[in-house]
Amino acid sequence: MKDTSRLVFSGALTIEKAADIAGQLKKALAASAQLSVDVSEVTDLDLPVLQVLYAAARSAEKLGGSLVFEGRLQDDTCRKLATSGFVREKITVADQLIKQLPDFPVSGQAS
Amino acid sequence: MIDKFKNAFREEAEELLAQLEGLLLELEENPSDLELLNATFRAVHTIKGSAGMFGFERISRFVHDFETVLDFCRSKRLTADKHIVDLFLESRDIVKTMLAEDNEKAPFSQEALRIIGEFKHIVDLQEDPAASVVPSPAAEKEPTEPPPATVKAGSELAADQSAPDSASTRLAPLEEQLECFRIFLKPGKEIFFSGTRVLKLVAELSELGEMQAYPRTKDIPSLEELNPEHCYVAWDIVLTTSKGINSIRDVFIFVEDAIELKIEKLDVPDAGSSAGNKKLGEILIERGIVKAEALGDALKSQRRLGEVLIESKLVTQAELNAALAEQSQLRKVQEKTTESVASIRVASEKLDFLVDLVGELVTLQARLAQTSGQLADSSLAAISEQLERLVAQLRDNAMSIRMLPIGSTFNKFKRVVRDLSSELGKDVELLTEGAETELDKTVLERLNDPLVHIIRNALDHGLETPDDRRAANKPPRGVLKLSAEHSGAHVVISISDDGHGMDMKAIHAKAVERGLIGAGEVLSEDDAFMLIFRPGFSTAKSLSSVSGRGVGMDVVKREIDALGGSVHVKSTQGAGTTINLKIPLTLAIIEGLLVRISQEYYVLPLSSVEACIELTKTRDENENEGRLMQYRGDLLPYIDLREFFAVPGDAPEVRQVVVVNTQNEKLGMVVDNVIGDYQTVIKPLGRMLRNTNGLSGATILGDGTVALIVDFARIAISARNTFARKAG
Repeated sequence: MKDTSRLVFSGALTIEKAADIAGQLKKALAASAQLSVDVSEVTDLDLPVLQVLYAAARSAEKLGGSLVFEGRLQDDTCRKLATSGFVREKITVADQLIKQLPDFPVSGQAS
Repeated sequence: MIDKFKNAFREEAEELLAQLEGLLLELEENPSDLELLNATFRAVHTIKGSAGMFGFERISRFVHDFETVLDFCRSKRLTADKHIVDLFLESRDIVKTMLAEDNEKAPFSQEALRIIGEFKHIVDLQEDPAASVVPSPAAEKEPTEPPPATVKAGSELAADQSAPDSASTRLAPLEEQLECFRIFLKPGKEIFFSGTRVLKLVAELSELGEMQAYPRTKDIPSLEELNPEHCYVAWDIVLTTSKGINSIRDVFIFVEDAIELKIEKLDVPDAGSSAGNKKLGEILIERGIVKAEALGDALKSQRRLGEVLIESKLVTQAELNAALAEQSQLRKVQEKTTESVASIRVASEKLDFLVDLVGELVTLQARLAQTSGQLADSSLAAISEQLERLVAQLRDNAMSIRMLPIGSTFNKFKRVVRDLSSELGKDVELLTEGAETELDKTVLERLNDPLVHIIRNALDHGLETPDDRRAANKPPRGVLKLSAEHSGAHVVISISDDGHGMDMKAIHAKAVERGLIGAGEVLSEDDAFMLIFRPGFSTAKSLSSVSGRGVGMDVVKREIDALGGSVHVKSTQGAGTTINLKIPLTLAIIEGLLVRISQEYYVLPLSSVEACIELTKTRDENENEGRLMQYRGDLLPYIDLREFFAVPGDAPEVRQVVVVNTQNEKLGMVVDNVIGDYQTVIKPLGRMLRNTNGLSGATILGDGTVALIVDFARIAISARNTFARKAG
């Protein structure tokens, strides 16, 4: 349970992919409470998948771990998150996401 | 009353159309700029909504598909390519024409029908890509019923029309009244099942104005409990918009059964009121996040309220942020309201009247100064001096109100340059500088035509085609630059191009051919360039629809002279031409030279006066034949203003010749006496004298006497004709 499980998602993460992504994250959590999600290739991040990521971060937190993001956040994705209030300023590096997403569990901080 | 609203709409629509033209030209350069597309959409949407509201149904109907196609561009379903922007620009022109026609019963023009047809075709293709037959304009019937409006616009219009018939309600979209709304949006758990994309709805809401959204994510469970197809997020939103509550509701019109939506209009405290800073605690209580007692306890700690509330877990960071955003938005709206109160729209006639009254006051003050001087009363002199300072301030202030930035005039030329360069097969970029430079609105209006002539001339004769430019080792795209800057009581407007410049030899040869100069006559470079402003002068090898008929540049010179300005040309062959126009800031005040003929006073615009020389009766009689006198080694034609204005009485023994420079020709004007410099407020001539040749206005002197303002340009034309008749 110590190693980080690394997942790479790509393309448009819309509702059609939400259940599949939730399944992948569950599986990854079973292997490690430390999750790292690479979003470099994500062209669209819609609400259902964003919720799945929140949920995975909460599960990881319960297990004493955390979920972090890595890679570069694409401009369109960032813009979409900014308009709906999930981020407050322009982010290029995805690891800044956890600091901006409201009430997103950050390692070592119980929400 | 209705007419008043209609006029308000017309004024507003004119401004929006001017703005729209600028936006479309920018869009042509940056077709994927979303902000530009949104701004363009807003302008068209406002024109459509307001047109419908004020009974301009024809415009509203015409604009409908224009708006739909723009919406496709906004949503990236279509690219605003050149063809689309051309259509948009043509549509804009048609709306402008319809606005001017103001005839609701008139059928759509052929041009309008063609554009409706093209838009419909684009819309059909988007909605049903199989449709590919372009309807012919003739086959296209004019819509008799307004086409189904988009959800947003239609419902907004309907809501506003059914609203109580009060002026403020009806004028709201035009007046851009900002309102601040607190919105709570909670999508139902199963909203995703209907295919609704919640973030898209929030994004659509954000297009209504300035919005801050704060998602509530507390209800998202851990992965084990999560149903990935359920929605767990809600939003606290603060929106500042001028579109009204109905447009907010319209965003959610198709999902109203699947969401919980609370919209509260927030009271924006009056400008200047201390209530402007709404307390954070008040907002949190209003939002139902904190109870009054808990707030009271938190406030006792003497620490920052937000920190205390988060520490005691009474609010989350997100809830606090939302409340702080609301506080900040309210403050902004209050500031904007204060700004809008500080700037009001006033009919230009009222400003003209104000300037007239200030003119009267200046005259009266001059009279007071003269009287107090004659009475040698020191107390009266002190009052007069104090009044003089106040009047001068008032005059400057009144004049400054009529000042407008030249940018709006510059913007109009973007379209001229775009259309004309395309017609001529040239690629030209228009650069502007000093758009903020202010000029009296009357001067600005009169500058329009001369500037159009110069620009057309530069495009037609100055700038080369891309091939010619490449051959001359120049970038294929030519540059036309318009700039303006203040220079004392004048503004210098420069129009420069990087074309092939003027051909001195061709100018000289043409001037000789036209008999404007002698074959062996040598002219300075400056003088040679000024020949292009002579009537009938043109070196263009062929006539074109654009210029080259030899009319235009002389009109430019005449107009600039009439404005009391001057023209200067610089040109380097192969490198380009610059035309500088030096224009007085205002036409309402004139720096003049006060002269007397018998008992009558005249004012000659000082900017054109070059010298004053004496004329004795003997000299006049000697030189009288051709009315020519020796001046600086040259022959100077002169005219006797006493004769010109038929002033009765005998001329004195010694008189003065005022040498003026008009239309780049020197001319002497004979007067009895030169009194001196005189700054004066120009007043229009009454009906009796309005058409008098050689007079452009009048002014009242300190002692109440009327002085007439001489129009050099007209006198010069009359004199030229007289000399020509005599010579002939």
